[in-house]
Amino acid sequence: MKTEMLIKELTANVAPVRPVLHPIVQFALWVVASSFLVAVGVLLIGPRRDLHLAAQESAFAMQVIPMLFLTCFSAAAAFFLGIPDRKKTWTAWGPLLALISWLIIFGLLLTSHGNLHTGAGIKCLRNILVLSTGPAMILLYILKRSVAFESRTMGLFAILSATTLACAGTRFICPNDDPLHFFLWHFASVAALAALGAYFGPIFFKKIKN
Amino acid sequence: MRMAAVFGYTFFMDHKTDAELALLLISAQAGDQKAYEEFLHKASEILRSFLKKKIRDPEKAEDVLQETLMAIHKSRHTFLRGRQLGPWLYTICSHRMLDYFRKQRRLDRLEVPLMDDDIVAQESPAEKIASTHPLHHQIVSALDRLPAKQKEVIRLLKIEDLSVKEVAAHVNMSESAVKVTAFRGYQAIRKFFGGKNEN
Repeated sequence: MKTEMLIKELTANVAPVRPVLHPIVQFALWVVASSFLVAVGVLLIGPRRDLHLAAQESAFAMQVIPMLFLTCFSAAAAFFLGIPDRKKTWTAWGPLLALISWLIIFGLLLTSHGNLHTGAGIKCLRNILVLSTGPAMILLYILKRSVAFESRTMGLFAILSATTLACAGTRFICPNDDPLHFFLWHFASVAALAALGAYFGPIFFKKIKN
Repeated sequence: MRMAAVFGYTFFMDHKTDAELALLLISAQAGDQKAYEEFLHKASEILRSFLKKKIRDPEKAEDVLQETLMAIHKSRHTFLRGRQLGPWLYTICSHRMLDYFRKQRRLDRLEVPLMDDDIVAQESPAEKIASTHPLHHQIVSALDRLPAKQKEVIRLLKIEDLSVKEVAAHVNMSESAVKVTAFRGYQAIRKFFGGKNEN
């Protein structure tokens, strides 16, 4: 088929299209909606009884803050990757640095905490799954209008941001402050789910584009 | 002149052309058919000269250009007002080009040299395959196992050495259907050779 014929075909019945929202606007909408959903989820599941005491511990903030950074960087990266030309260096480095800072803090907490035990954690995995479902669905819904040239990376960042936000929410639910428990049941759950996001990213974005 | 670097390739689009094309695309987003046609024509001129520098075969370069235009059509809603058009355009083009190079690498791994010029001059296509190289008999065997459509498409592409366009006209299929059929045939042939290697 000649290119001129293709152009004629493409322009024959061209319909108006609604431009996508700016990635910053997409990100802001997602943050507001997802934070609300996670907050509601925490209230419904039931906050830990010693929350007011735990929140005063520095270890609590040391765990929650890097998670929120990772949530924000990953979500923003996913939205920016969905626009051609919008890939910036920070879309790779931002989430990576946030993840590294989280791991460093883990390392510090693990080494400074005596008597580590994992404790039971299936409930924590369940809570992460429940709390991340809404944010993940909203994010993927926003992304369905984007261009998915880097579908694997977008899938990874989309699920990583939703699960990390959920993981931050579980700090308000799970009374077990043991870093080993948190590493094995919370962090590992996030890592596994994010890996699934990367694996299914191409399949998901291919399906919604078709 | 503004430079935009995409995947290590550099291209030039002056500020005036960038602004002109951006305005045309924004009108096209609103449904202006004339503006869209003008945009696609101008964009294809710029992209064609870029692609011809990167892809030696002019016909393949044209194929990639058409894929790029289709991708532009599907993603025209992602161009944001106030942004430069150049990087947007070339990001789409570069991804299509990378897809082409990946596909070429996959196909090159499956291809074997079937004939040389002397044999072409003297032998019929069927005789070319039954040539001295031992792999040729295995290839004939592999081809015989394929469904009729795949066998015909691969025969026309690789033995008769027709272009995708010519094969599409010959077998009354679209060009993309020809490419998909050929790719499935190559996969089946690869599996056939993979099974033989295991034995």
